[in-house]
Amino acid sequence: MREADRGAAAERTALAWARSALTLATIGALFLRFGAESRLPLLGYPTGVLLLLAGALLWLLGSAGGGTELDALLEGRIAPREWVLGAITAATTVIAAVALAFALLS
Amino acid sequence: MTAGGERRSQTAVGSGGRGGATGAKQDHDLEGRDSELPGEPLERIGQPPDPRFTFANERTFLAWNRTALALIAAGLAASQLLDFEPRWLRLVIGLPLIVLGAVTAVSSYRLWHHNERAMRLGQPLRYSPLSRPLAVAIALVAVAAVALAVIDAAR
Repeated sequence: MREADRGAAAERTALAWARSALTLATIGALFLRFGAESRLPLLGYPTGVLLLLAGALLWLLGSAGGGTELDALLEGRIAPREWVLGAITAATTVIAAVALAFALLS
Repeated sequence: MTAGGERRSQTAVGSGGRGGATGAKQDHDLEGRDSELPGEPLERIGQPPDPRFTFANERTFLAWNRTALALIAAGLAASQLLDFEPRWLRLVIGLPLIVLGAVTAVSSYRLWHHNERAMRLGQPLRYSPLSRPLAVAIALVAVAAVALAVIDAAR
């Protein structure tokens, strides 16, 4: 039962990563759409494509976490993913800066 | 809310599959220092908590990060789709949402880092300080949006 708990926790976390990946991809689609309609296609298109790719990458990262080796899970050896979460935070801040520029310039 | 008491019992849970000298050695290998050097990786601090706590903390971070992304998306959409004239009025709605998104993203990472560290050291966990200010800010933006919509319709 305890092992099943841990497996379920890992699965819930992998699903949370998948939701985050979908959110990122949705913002990518928004940038593509607004890039097509605005005077800033050179900002909108690359940002949109990058965010769609980042969404796919995030999904892969999440799947990797969800499939954490069973041995590591059972022994409690789960390393906090400090750099990955830091990179996600930095990327989100950059997305906000690009969105700000897009809103002001378009 | 503390992870301390639970953590000690969960450490025993975490090492449930181990036994004897091998288990003791692995426990020793997993232990880190109780003090933190600047820039030291989290995994070297204290003792690892039960993986369920680590996963729960990660999910909380991801939920806050999705909130940040949703705020940014809403701000971007408001600045592009609203039809207020003059044009800067739509920025009154859009820009605060985007800035809030950035602040939420940074705050969520700091909260995750603090709680991960606290769990490893058996210290009290912390709730996000952003919950109430964020709710107030979103409510203010909503009120501003309604006011602008009414004024725009009355013209």
